[in-house]
Amino acid sequence: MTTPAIDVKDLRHRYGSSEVVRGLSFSIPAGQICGYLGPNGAGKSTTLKALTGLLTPTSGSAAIMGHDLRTATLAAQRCFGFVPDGGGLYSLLTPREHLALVADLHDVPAGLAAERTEQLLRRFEAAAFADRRVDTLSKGQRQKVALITAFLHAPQVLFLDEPLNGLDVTAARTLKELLVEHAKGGGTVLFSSHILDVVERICDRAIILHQGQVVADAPTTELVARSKDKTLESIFHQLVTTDRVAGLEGFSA
Amino acid sequence: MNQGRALKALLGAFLRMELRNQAYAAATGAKPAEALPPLFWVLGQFLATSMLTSLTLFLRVPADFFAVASLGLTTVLVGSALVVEFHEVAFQPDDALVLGHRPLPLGTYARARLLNLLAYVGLFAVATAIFPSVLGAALFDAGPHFAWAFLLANVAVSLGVAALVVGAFAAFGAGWMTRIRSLLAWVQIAAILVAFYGAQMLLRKADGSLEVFAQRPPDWLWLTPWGALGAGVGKAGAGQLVQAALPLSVGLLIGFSLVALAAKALSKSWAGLRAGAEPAASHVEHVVIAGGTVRVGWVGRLVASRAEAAGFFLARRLLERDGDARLRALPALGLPVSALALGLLSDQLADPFVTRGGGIVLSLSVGVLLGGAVPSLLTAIAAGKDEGAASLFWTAPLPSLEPVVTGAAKAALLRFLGPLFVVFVVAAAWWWRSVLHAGLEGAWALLLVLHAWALAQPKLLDRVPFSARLVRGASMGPVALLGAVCTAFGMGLAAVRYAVGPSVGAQLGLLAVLAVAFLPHQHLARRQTSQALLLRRARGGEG
Repeated sequence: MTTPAIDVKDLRHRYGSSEVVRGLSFSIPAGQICGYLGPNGAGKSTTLKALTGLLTPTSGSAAIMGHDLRTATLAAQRCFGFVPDGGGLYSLLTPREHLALVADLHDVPAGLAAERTEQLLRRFEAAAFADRRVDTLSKGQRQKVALITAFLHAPQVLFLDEPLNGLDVTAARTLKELLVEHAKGGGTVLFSSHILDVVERICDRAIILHQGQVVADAPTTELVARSKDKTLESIFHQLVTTDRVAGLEGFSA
Repeated sequence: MNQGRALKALLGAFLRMELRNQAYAAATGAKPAEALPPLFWVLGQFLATSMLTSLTLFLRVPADFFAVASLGLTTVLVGSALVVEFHEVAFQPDDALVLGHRPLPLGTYARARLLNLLAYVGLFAVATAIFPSVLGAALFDAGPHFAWAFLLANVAVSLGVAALVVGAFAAFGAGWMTRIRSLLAWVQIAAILVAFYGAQMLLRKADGSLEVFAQRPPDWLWLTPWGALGAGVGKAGAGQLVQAALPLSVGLLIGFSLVALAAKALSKSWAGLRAGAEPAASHVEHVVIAGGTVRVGWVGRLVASRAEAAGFFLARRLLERDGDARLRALPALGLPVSALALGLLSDQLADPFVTRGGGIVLSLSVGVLLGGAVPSLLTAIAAGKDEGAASLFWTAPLPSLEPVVTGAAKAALLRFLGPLFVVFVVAAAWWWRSVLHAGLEGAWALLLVLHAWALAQPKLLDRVPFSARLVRGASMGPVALLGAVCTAFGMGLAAVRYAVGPSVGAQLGLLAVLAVAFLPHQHLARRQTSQALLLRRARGGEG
């Protein structure tokens, strides 16, 4: 049996007395782009933080490319790139400085890092502002930089939290192309977004969260087919506009 | 729009946010609750400093001079706190995003922010007044009226200082202020020098010159704001309430008038900010990194790994570009600079390798005070504006973040202390006509700094550098205790050197012991830092 790229088992997390992630379990095979959806407060960002080691979950386990995040944290962290919501950049550094920093933190050989840096800057049309401080860049330019930092060390898994934030049409298209290329090359993407038509177009599968639990986990085409007006938005709305957490029959994980 | 209601709502929100910021650690569980919020530490320092000064002056000087000196101390303490970090209360560029589009008159916003700042100033005024009021009232030539009169004068001085600082920041604009922040920090260092000179004069001169000076101070002293108010306090203390009323009421009137002018200046500055006339990030800098790594050039020779290079690079760049971080750090250098300057100016910087006795105190003190500054310098790289960016480090596949922290600390110490070391060794070599002795003294100072670093790092840097939330008072408050510990450690060793005398052999022996002891000390510090970071990671990184 092939090791899943992302494997989550009974993940739970509490902030004080409030349990925001309640027993999540799912696994994503290599080569899949998976949409990670849910209304505000559903627990998406908390899960992504737990899957990237930014937060220690209250209980449960998660593994990236077979490496358990608790017991083999470093091996797991070598396998992924992450774009947090808001980008997570130092406003006083330049994009090129960020990329050099990330290359050193991920121990990418210097020459290779320089080559990839130039490639990615060109691909995202970011070379023109690569030597300007981040605090002088527009929101979209910052998001491009955050995305490039995630791709720089050629990770097998990508965790993207609202990656389309602020991107113009061309950059969004570049991102989609890169994600598809990444998946074709055997890479995996967990893609959290509120832009459901994009998810519908590029994701092979969608996991929908509501109140910290998975309420649907199925191929995107199947979800769309089951909806009233044949859109992901429609079934999403149907699943999350109820206080009762109940998955659609046949779709809950 | 009901402006009274808007002002009340804004002020309430601002004060609530300030209080929550103080209790941030406890409220979020991001780290164990602190026994005392940072603001309390700042107030504690003010209480302690004013108590020491009052006790030193008590029964040695007349009531009016006692009041003048205490008001002067208030000026230095309140001015320092405002310049270092509390002015930020009144200047919040982020407000433009939240409030800029609201139908809010400029004056209402400026008044709310200024009142927000004055809440802190009020606390400072009370903290600096308690001991002088009580002890002043017990002076031979004063009575109970001294207490309330001093409190009023202290409020007037505090208001005036606050208004001048806010007015200067507002009048010259945020961009200009950013450029002159380092200069401001050096002005502060000069103020510390003056205070240091006064303090050491009080402590060292046992020949009654202080009493003589206080009995017959120069006439111009009474023409200064402190002199005029001090004279009023002295008169109130002597029961001459009618004569006291004029200077005190004029002082308060001037204080409040300056505050009103500051409010005007602040509303103008807010108008500029709101209109986007002065965007905080207008500066475009072109810096090219070659080769896809930060471990290039001389940096590579100073660090042991790529992770350490990353920390070093981050701190170096952010300290270059973040005027606020520099402003938080530079005042820590005030005491060593003062000791060196006073040693040179007053001919008290004797060569400890050939001289015995009191003449070497300031020579030994420079190294001790450089060590004492280390905790403040490390604190300056703990907090920053981009907390979220720490995820770059927390998600990196590094066995430990300790090298990152160590690299950042190296960069900070090198940036702030490096030039001072050069100045100190060159000055000592010139003064003592001995490069060898100056080099040895430099080695002594370096070893004290290294030990202070090993002592302070695990306690202050248990996080990715620049990732702590900026909490009002944090860069001046709790760190003072650790600074005192490092200074006490250095003073203990300096006392040994003082006792040993100018024997080069004995002093070299002491240096060798310090050097050898540094290796296990550094090893322990790295292990403790690593454990502290692991503990933080287990709690969920930056929370």
